[in-house]
Amino acid sequence: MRRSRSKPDERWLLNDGPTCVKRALLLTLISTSALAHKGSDAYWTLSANGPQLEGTLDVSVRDLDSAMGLDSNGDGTITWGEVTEHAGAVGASVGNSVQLAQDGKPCPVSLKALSLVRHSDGVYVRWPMRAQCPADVTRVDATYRLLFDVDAQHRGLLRAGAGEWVAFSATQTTRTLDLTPPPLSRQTFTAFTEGLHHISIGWDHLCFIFALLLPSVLRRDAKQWVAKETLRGTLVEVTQVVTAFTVAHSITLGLSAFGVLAPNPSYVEVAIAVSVVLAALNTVFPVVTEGRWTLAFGLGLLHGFGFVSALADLGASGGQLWASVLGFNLGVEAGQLAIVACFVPLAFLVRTTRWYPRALVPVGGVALVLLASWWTVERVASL
Amino acid sequence: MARKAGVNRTTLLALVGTLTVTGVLLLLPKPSVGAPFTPKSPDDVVEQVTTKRIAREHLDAPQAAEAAKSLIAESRKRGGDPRLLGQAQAVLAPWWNEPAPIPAVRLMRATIKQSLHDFDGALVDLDVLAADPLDVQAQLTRATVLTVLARYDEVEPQCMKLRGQVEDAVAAACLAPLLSIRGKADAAVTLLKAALERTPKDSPLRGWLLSILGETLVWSGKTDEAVAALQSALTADDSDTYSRLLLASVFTESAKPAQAVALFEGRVELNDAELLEYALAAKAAESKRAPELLERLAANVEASRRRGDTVHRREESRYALRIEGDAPKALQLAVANFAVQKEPADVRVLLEASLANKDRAAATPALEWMKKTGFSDPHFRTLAAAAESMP
Repeated sequence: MRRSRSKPDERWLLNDGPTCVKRALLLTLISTSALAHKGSDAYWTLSANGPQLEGTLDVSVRDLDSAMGLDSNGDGTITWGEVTEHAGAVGASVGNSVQLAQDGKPCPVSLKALSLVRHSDGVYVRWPMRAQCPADVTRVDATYRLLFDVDAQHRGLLRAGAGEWVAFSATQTTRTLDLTPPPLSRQTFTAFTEGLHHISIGWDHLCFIFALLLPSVLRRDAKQWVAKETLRGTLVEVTQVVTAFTVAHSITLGLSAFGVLAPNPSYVEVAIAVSVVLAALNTVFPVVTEGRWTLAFGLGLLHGFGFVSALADLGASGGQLWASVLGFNLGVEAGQLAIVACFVPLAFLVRTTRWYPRALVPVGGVALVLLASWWTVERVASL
Repeated sequence: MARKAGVNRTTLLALVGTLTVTGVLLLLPKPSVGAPFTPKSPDDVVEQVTTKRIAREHLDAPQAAEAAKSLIAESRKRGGDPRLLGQAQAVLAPWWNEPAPIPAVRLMRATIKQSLHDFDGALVDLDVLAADPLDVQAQLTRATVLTVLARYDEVEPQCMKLRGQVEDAVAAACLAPLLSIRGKADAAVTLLKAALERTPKDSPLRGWLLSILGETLVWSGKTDEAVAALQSALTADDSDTYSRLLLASVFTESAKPAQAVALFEGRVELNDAELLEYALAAKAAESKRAPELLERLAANVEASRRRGDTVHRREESRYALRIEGDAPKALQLAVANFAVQKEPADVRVLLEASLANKDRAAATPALEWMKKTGFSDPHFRTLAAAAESMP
């Protein structure tokens, strides 16, 4: 610098020589590349169950450390021991920063034992919470003041029931939430349309059904496909297959929707792809030729697990969850029956042609095998 | 009867087999995302925290400005971590709405405001600060903000005021972007090269000058020279996010996406703009990492939408156009973005989104900017010509 400076607040800029320019550069950079990692967010969910509110609050470990100093030994790593050491004080502070009230009367909030949960930008502490309101909850006033004194750009993101996420910020710390559950009929209908939609875009489920339906108008005789004589025989088999598939995926969907079973979704996706390969192979090289409903049942169990994520997006709980599971299943069923109703009569009409058993079934089967094998490879690769 | 029994055995085997698979599936490990867990040992590491702790309570104004400054510097070192900027703002909270805090607080307040794209708010402070000819930092920041707002007539006098206050190189770095925006990229290159010649090899100024030179060369269509300048800028300062982004987009656009991917590989902290550029490059290079990057990017975009943030609209528009394939959304974001900031990158985003929507009217502000400035980047010229020829 050419001139000496006297004002103390300018020293950082100018007295240390060219560093000032680095700082100038700093400012330039911020304005031209204002995007950054991820802002500080906390995730809060709530659902109403009579006069009780239940939910979870996830706060980033990094943010808790900035605010309350979790890193006791200052080594730059937070251990589980350090989290539990501060759990009492941090929990109390967090508990004081969130408040719920119904018509001006407080709904005391209690936090349960913390655990950890991973979000896209790191590990968060999760507190399951419960609040007791004076009466059945439809509207609730929520206040959130956590971390704003430490990070002015912090946001508390709250999702009530299946609603949209709303953001609390330093300038908006209270919000009124509508927790009125949709009427059971509407919840069921929403779930029904979701089920219908899911089967219509769920190519793997559709292919599985086709693999089972293709030979349903035929029977094996002396290692050859021959046309079934009666419509009755076809309908019995189709009914068995569809019912078995339905019962099977209803069982697993129900069990996982209520949290009884929780397989790894990535492996489920692989298993579903493999199930399509197997079902399709069975049309090319028939092994299970009688009682194919058993195949539909066994593999259908896997497909039920695959429906859970779509159902979870409906965000229902309690009695609403029953309505959702029911509606969703009915939607899937309606979709399947529509396919059956279109395909089976057509297949029945052309079953006696030479090309149906000799060309369409094997070629269709091979096509399904190839497609499903490709899905399997893709899904294994993304494990 | 015997045949019948054989069939049944096969059927039974198939059923048992599938039930076994289902059972095994339940025993396989579950993903940790979304599911709560508790570590077994108190020594298990939960998270790395590298933020240096600063005292934030009972600070007077000069101390608060100093604390904010160190948080902003730390944020810059980490590619613009918004948490640290939010913390700097929180430190300044007692003075945030003060009409006339001390200059040091004003400068930090303006710095944070412009990072939130509150450019008018930042200028209120910068106009006051820049009245003091000795406040070089405020002069530079003010020139930058005026450039972002496309108030070019005011940028030149602002940069001229720096002359005699600091090294000529600083004034050159202030002036060069204005020259190249106004279609005088050659003059800007000459100015910057002369400034570089006068700057000592070990001066921290070099990285900055090289970065601006690289950008100017990109805008002149001199790709090879631009690559060399940007690579030197990164050698001089590895944390120079801006140069890295620019270099990556040059590589991706000149059909060398693998080189763009290599720029980001192994970097721990990426901001959203870098993540977008990285994902676009990885997608173009058909890299194995592309799906994971796209997933992270989608999570970040979703988070920013939930937060109600609007500072990311330029990148969100590109994301909508290039990755989501949602042209109408891209245009809506590009138009909203251009109302706030008008850098060449914003012009380009608006042109591309207008073209994708075949919307001549939407492109008008960008075309007017091109005419008014005489910006000569060949790629921009092509885009503008295509936009002009839309019915």
